Amino acid sequence: MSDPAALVRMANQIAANVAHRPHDQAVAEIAKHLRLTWPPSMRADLIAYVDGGGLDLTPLAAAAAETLRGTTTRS
Amino acid sequence: MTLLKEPDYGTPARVGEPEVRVEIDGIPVSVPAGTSVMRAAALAGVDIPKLCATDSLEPFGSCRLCLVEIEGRKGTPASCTTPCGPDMVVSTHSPRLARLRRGVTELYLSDHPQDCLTSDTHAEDREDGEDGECELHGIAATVGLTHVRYGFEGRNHLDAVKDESNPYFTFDPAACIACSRCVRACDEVQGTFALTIAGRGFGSTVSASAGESFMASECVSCGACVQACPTTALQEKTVIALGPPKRTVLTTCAYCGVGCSFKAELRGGEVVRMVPAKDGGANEGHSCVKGRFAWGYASHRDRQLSPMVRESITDEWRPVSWDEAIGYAASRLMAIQAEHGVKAIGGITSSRCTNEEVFVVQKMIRAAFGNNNVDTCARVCHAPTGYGLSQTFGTSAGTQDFKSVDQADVILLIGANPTDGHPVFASRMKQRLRKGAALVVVDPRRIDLVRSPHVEAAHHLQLQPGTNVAMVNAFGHVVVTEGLVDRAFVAQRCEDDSFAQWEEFIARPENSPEATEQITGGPAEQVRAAVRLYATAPNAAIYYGLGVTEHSQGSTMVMGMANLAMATGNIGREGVGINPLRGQNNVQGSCDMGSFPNELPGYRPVGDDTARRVFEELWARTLDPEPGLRIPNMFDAAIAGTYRGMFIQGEDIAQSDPNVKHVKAALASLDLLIVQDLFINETAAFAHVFLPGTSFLEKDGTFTNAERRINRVRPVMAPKSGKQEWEVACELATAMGYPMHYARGSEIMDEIAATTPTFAGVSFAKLDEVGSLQWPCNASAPDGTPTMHVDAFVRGKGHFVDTPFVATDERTSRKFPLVLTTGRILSQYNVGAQTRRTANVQWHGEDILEIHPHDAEERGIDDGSAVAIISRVGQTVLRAKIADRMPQGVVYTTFHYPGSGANIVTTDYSDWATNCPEYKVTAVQIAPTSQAPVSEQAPQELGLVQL
Repeated sequence: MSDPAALVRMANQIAANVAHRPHDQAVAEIAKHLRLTWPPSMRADLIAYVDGGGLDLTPLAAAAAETLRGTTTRS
Repeated sequence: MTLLKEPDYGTPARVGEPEVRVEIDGIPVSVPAGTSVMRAAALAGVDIPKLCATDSLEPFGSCRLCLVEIEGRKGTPASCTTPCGPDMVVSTHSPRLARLRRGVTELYLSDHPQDCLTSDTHAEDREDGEDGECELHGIAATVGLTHVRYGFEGRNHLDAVKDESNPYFTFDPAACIACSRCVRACDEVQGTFALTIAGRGFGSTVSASAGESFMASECVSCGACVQACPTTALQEKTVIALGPPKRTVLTTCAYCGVGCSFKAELRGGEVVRMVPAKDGGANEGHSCVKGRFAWGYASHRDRQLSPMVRESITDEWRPVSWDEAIGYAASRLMAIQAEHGVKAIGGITSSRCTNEEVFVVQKMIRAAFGNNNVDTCARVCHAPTGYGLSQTFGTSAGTQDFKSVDQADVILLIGANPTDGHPVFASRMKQRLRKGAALVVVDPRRIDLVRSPHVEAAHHLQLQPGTNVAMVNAFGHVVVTEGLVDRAFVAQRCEDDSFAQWEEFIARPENSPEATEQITGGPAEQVRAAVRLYATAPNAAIYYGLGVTEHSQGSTMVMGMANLAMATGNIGREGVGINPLRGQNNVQGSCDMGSFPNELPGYRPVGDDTARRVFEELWARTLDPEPGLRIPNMFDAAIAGTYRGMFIQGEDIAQSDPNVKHVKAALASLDLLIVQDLFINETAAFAHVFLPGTSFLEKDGTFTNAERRINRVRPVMAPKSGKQEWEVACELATAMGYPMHYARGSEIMDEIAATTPTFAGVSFAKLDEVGSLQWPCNASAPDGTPTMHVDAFVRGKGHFVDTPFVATDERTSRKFPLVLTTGRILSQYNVGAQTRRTANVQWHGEDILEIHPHDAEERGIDDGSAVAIISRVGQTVLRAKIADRMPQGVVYTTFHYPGSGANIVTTDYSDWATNCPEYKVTAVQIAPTSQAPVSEQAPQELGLVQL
């Protein structure tokens, strides 16, 4: 299990840097970035964090995490 | 001086067509206009005696040895200062000329030590016909001088006091002939202007600064003067101690990303000196204090030469055989995987290692470990360069060669301090600036290039740390709103839609210099003037360093600069471009070799089935299609207990990485840490297996410098540990059940070439033939690619990216009101593992904190006093230096000494896209303290200062 605070900070930071794009495009871009650069274990931990309430994730980061479901398994 | 005599044409080459035809001793030769008679003669194969002339320096005409006769002209002009004229007929030898030369030489010798080094002292060591160190004695032989009629008893300089203050070379005025080659080398090549000829006539003498010792002067110890000296007046101390070298090996420096070519000159198996290679593509005969002199660490007593193991990090190390160390490491790695899964281990490659060593380690991790948990120290320096340039141009590489700066009319220097970090390139840049190019510096600190002898920046935009993106957006705004876009270039070379989107974004009022002034602190009018200078120049080039990348928006800033270059058409030819100044010697290469957890060699994503299949077929292993852990992810996972075994190649992360407390906690959590290094470094304190590494003098491979130049690193001596580093990785992989074997380094490069399209044309044989190659080197570019993106970008059309400014989360506050930035200094290198083990410590014996006078006075801090540096994550104590080059509100230190703790105070904040640490912005408070600086105390003595 990765450090949730670190995961949240990184995901929110990615979201902040693409937040100027239209919502759907921004979500897709964050998700693409996560798929290309985060290992499955970290993506799974992020989804688990969302499932736990995801309180500290920005809405954009949370929306991107949602799209990772089904494409991410902890391996 | 140098052992291997390279052709010396006496005066520099002139550019142009060979349109001036002259005849030298009956031999016709055509040369470009402005070429000296001396050079034309050399080109015709006619050697004219000379002492004050050498082809790295402009002619001076002082020694009067190179006299010639020219048909139709009176007298005997100096051939070095006489340009060739149309149909000139020159005689270089005649009884009159011979008489004159003998006379001049006789006068020189009448006031010159007859036991001049290597003429007598080591004469017994010279082979027949071998030149000595003193050109004057060589000239005496050439002109047939056998006797000095005046004797040696007259007034002379033979009792002049020798200056031995510099740790690496001596100045002996007795052997000086006042030819000014050293003075001119300091001026023209190095650009420091530390030397002069003081006095007149017989009293003329070389003077460092205003009659000071070399050590006390402005001399930066680059050694250009030593190399230029035709006698033994300036001489390496190692040559004096060991005698002149007997053989030479051409290799590549192991320090910064300039990647200078050097001739390692040896006597037996011992290195006597390093001489920069005149035909080195990156350095063209120049060097800095580190490359030329600071190589003694390679044979330092601290070298750990035998493998060691221990069960626990609290146990004593136990020296063991290679077989036992490798077997122990392999069995523990496999045990971890058996218990915790295949992804519970990984490793880090090093930019201080060769391409071949890095390639083999990443192969070991991907194929033998069976995962992509491989990262590299470029993570903490230029990872944003890779991301930003890939997004915009299509590949992760600087666009130019170093020579390109000679064609630049405006140089925009952002977040880089080349005179300290990349000194040999800085000298080249200064040469161009002295010839008239304009300089814009964007940096919080007043770096040396803002104002130094004969160089002054047109603009210094002293921005607030952490606001680069706001600044580059202001640049883009002015380009777009003042009609400075190169519409033809954009239309032809870039994407229409991404440009249109960027144009709309960047033109918004919030990006104007007037709006961003509130963020950056850069005066709007000065920003506008700087942009106009950049955008309207025929050729404008951007050079940048870690002041761009080591920020929370490092990647965004790289893309912002790429936008700027594309919008103004400053890409795809000489004199322009985006030029990252890489920190370590093989940052470019270690990235090229597939060191990132999401990229295979050649920057191809691990999820790219086609690319992955190339390696799977050759390596006979199925590779993981998912990215692995980055370095900071590895730390977090170690603390979480999911990452338990780690191989670290030549990197000292317990000193170099931010928030050291967190790093050490992660390392201490590991079940197994394997460190491969020259020395027992800070990281090795947490290791269970230590595998001795090889210095650059022992390696057999290649480095790739910041201009994508692949240079050979040739072994000067056998590995002191008995093995090349790549052999060790191969044996570890083999012990884990995945056989890896190469007979020699060239076979590894052959595999790189076979699997990586940009390296397809590279081989050791080709490098030996042509000297160096800049990738891409393949069927389309068999001789390499000095300038990239000439007709099209690697990705096709250039891609513009919107770059909104997002402030870092690391904020100043009442408790932490100052911003700390960290960097490096000329004499030291990175974590100092190499340079701290040389005499370079005489220039920088401890890390200090630079602080603006106002900030110091406000806190009651005196120059030289101890101060506590306190951040949100830690604190340390350093000695303060009051420096008005710092802006108010910003403090600076280096991280060369492990005890200094610069990275105890830096935080976990990092670049949003790559996790490159935000070393350049840490909110701190500085307070006077009665504690001694950490350089003077044991770590346990460091108490906490309460704010």
